[in-house]
Amino acid sequence: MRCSRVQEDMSRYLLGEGNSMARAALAEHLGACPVCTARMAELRRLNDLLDLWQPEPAPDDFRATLMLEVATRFSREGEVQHRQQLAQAAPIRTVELLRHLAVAVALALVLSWGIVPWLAGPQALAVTGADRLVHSYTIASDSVLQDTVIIIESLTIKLNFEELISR
Amino acid sequence: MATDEILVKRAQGGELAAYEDLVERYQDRVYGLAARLLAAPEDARDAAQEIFVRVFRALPGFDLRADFATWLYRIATNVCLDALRRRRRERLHNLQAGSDSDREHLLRDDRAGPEDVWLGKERLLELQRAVIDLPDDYRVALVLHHYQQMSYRQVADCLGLTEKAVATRIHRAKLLLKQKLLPGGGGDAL
Repeated sequence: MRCSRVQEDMSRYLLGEGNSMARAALAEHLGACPVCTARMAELRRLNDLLDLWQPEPAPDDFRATLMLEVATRFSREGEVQHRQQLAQAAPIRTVELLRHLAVAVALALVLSWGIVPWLAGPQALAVTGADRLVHSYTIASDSVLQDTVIIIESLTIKLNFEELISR
Repeated sequence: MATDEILVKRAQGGELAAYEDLVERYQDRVYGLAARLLAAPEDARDAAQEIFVRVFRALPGFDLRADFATWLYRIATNVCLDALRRRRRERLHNLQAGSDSDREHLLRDDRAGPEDVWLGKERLLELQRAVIDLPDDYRVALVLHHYQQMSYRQVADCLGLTEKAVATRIHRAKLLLKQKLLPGGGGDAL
């Protein structure tokens, strides 16, 4: 083992790091090399000297100040972020609205040209083009209105009966 | 006592108290690291605060398979090195001012006999100046290893270096310190 290598690994050796084989090789070298042994003694002295600089604890109010800083900074940033999200969301909402509108128009066309005339019955199917659409709507809306009136009347009668019974 | 992993997981879930527990657990070590790397107490305080703020911001993305302490020290080292680079000119000025104020502060503390205290404090100031005067790369490796009790492997992970590079930096740092601090120092090797 070369002296330069031994001396570079001495700090690690003093702290008990390194595998057992490397440590054994280092110990063997130190046993036979007075120069490295002297360097090892110097390193121990230097480490003792370094230990004079004891760790300084954080100031007493450090944590409280930090938590306040975190709360302030991140609530502020959170607000900014929220605003950014809103700003980004606005065009998205417009696009979505247009998309929904397009779907609604497409559905209305399908209903107009297909389902409503079918619901209106054979009379509507006999007519063609724009007339067919108008005619279909007229028949369908008449039918819906009639049904609605019947339902409302039935409910009204029922309510009247219930009112009489309760009296 | 909850492990780092549990606290980190809870903090990632938005529990501020868990983050505060992590701060309490590491604040002295982080402050000590900043104090040794930046020299001036006010700089150390600002840096330590910035370190924990960055930790808070980055915590949601922390990979729980990694070691929290190593990750924290990586952030801490980067913040301190940034501060050193940013304040390099100021630092030289502050160092001088800091040394003078430290000297006054230390000399006011007379719990032991006046002569012993003075000699001890002079020695400590000499040591502090020698450590602070080391090149940044050497000082960071030395402080992480000697004062933060990190293994070569952990220092290497923290700094993104090989263990061999860490060993070289620490060795060279100690050579420089020996030249300044040990009587008869200045040899080619330790």
